[in-house]
Amino acid sequence: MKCERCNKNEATFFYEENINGEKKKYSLCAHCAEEMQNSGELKTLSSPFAEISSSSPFALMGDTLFGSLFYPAEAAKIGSVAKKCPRCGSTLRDFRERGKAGCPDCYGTFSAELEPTLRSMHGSASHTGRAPAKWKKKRDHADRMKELRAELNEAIKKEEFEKAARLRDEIKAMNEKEEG
Amino acid sequence: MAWYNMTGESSDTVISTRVRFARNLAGYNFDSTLGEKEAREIIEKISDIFTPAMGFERIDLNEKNRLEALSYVEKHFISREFAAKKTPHTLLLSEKFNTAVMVCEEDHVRLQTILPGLSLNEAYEDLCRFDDQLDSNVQIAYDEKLGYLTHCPTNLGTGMRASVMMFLPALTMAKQIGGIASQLSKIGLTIRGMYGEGSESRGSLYQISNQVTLGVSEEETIRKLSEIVAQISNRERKLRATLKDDRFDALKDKVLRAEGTLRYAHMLSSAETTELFSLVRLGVAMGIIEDVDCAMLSRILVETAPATLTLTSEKELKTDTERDIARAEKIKAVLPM
Repeated sequence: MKCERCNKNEATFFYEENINGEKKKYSLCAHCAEEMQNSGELKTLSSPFAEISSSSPFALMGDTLFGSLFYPAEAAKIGSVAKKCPRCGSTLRDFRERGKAGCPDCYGTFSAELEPTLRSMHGSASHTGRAPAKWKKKRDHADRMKELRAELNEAIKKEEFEKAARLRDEIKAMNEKEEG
Repeated sequence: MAWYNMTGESSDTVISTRVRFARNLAGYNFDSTLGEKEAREIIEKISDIFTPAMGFERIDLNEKNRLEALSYVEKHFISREFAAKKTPHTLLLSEKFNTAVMVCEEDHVRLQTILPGLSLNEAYEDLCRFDDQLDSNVQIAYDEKLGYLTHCPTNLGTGMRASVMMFLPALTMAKQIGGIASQLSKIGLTIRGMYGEGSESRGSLYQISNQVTLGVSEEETIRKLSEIVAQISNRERKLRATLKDDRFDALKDKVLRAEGTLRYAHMLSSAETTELFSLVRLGVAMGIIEDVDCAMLSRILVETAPATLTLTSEKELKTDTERDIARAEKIKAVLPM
């Protein structure tokens, strides 16, 4: 699809707005989107979107993948365009141009914007596998608690009260150990 | 002993196995926003963990030892990007464990083990031991949902890249690499030529590795990669058997001519050496050549690469001609007469 403004470049930005019932729709290339934004025609965006830098590893993956990360309408909806990472000061635009996070906290700051990209990149957005000892302990504890609670519910359902009492004590002991 | 002096499992089709973990320290910015002072802090912290007592040598890489750095690239201990980096970076290397700790690469710490032949499980287990050492001494940037937090989102999750360097001359001749590449991409794996991109790599050497790091555990990735490598090896072996039945004399002639050139040439370029290496290695795997083994050939490939050759030569090598003569001499010294 061609950009409806210049009619030359491929449209990569799809923008919709609804202000007091007055609906507007645009299909634009990156260049026109930026120009319209600078001139104030696109009202809800506060940060211009530059072309994907060719040195970024993301560029290799094509625009479609990153369309989801930097889809202006989506980004504006979650109000994240002007968001900055509190630790390193990176914006979503910095992240995109570098193709890399600025610090570990960026992943928390931009988690909503990043999730669709991670899904396209890895086919998943949640980790399974090794963890540092501290986290592994926490994960093992959570898994064990889940198991015990399920057993407890089962025991109560079957009116096996002696077993339920034993499980309840075990859960209590585990919680105390974790807190201590 | 360095990996290129040993012969590993499945050495007829596999040259080496490499596994690396990407790790970052909590409380520090990633490389692109990291200050020099913080980079030096990280280098000191990590150097205190992987010490000479543990078998690691500390090599601070800079402009002065650029050739040495390139030689480590040729030995596959470090990445080309790491060797070329301008900001502070340090290598902690254990040739005994064939393990390199790259400090302040793209990620704060990259742990990497390379072993001869096919040994994914062994390389992974070795690496886990070093990762545990790291984990018990510093706080690692980790998130319950996203796993190990890495500079580039392509490494999130396990931060693990496992890759197997395969030697596939028959599949290359039969033009089957392109087909394998498209099958691999569907299951989160990738194949790349060692020398130059594209489907026909010089020397028929290819790197097969995982692309996906999030949502698939390390063990699952290792298992999948092992299975695929075994399948590709079998296809390569079957094709070689067909070659043996149909065109044995032509093949034997080609292999022995290559061996002759490798043994007796006065000058050899790096590109020609790789080509000859490939034919001789095929000859060894098919029993045409008997007094040469895979370790000798891996050693030739590593020790005749430009930087390593220049570094180990007694004479100063200024011109291409001098380098090509030194390369031919080096090969003569490695191969038994």
